[in-house]
Amino acid sequence: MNILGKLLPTTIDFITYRSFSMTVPLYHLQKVSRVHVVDNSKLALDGNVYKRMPRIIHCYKKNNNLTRTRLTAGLGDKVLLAIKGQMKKAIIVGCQQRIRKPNVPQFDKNNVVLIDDDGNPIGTRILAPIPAFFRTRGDLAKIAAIATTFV
Amino acid sequence: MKLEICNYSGYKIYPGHGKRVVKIDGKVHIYLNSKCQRSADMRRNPRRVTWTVYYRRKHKKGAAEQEVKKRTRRNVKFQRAITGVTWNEILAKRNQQPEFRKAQRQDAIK
Repeated sequence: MNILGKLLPTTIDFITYRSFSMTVPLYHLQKVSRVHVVDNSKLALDGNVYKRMPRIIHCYKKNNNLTRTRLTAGLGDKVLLAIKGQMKKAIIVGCQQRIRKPNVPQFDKNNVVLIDDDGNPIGTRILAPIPAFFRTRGDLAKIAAIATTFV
Repeated sequence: MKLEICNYSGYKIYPGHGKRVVKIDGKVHIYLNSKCQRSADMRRNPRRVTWTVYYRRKHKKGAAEQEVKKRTRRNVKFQRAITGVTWNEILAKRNQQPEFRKAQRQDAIK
């Protein structure tokens, strides 16, 4: 009864005012985020059609402030995927998250390109447009080399 | 500095404004603000939305009217043959030299 007494006023307030604010969805890419592979490699083509969408298992990001559970990844970050029952590394090539930097576009899907352990892309072509800053960053140059269109 | 044009409204986008979105099929849309973006997401046809440039062009509002009025029709002078005389004969008579005519007159007098 005591608990009820404490609860009641707050619930009534909630009902009468109905004031709670919602942030815009943040669209962070983190563990278990579903992702769309944009390669033309065999794994990519099979993985997109498999019973489970390719998912991020781990984000390789050198940010020590973040705890393990809140590791998020953005454009140009390396990531571990689970595709078709296998584990494969990948680089994020387009994300739904709105990035407030000049000339960085927002994509309708979270796109990803498969990579092997050395950083070389597995496929030979990328089927979606890629942000233009991939050309200037040295570690992403291999992906920019096989890209068809830039945004 | 490149001035973009909003895909939806047709307005100019100055640096520091606007949003670029890449759709699933790979097409890039550039929106001036969230008003344009949300209208596009709602699948509103810009040619039916009154404040966009596309609507104004389609319904010919504003400056387009003045351009059309300035073009006036010019009458084209066209010369043709008459029933008694063919065009070649008319040309021949026109192109006669004055000395030739003088000579003809002299002959006629004689």
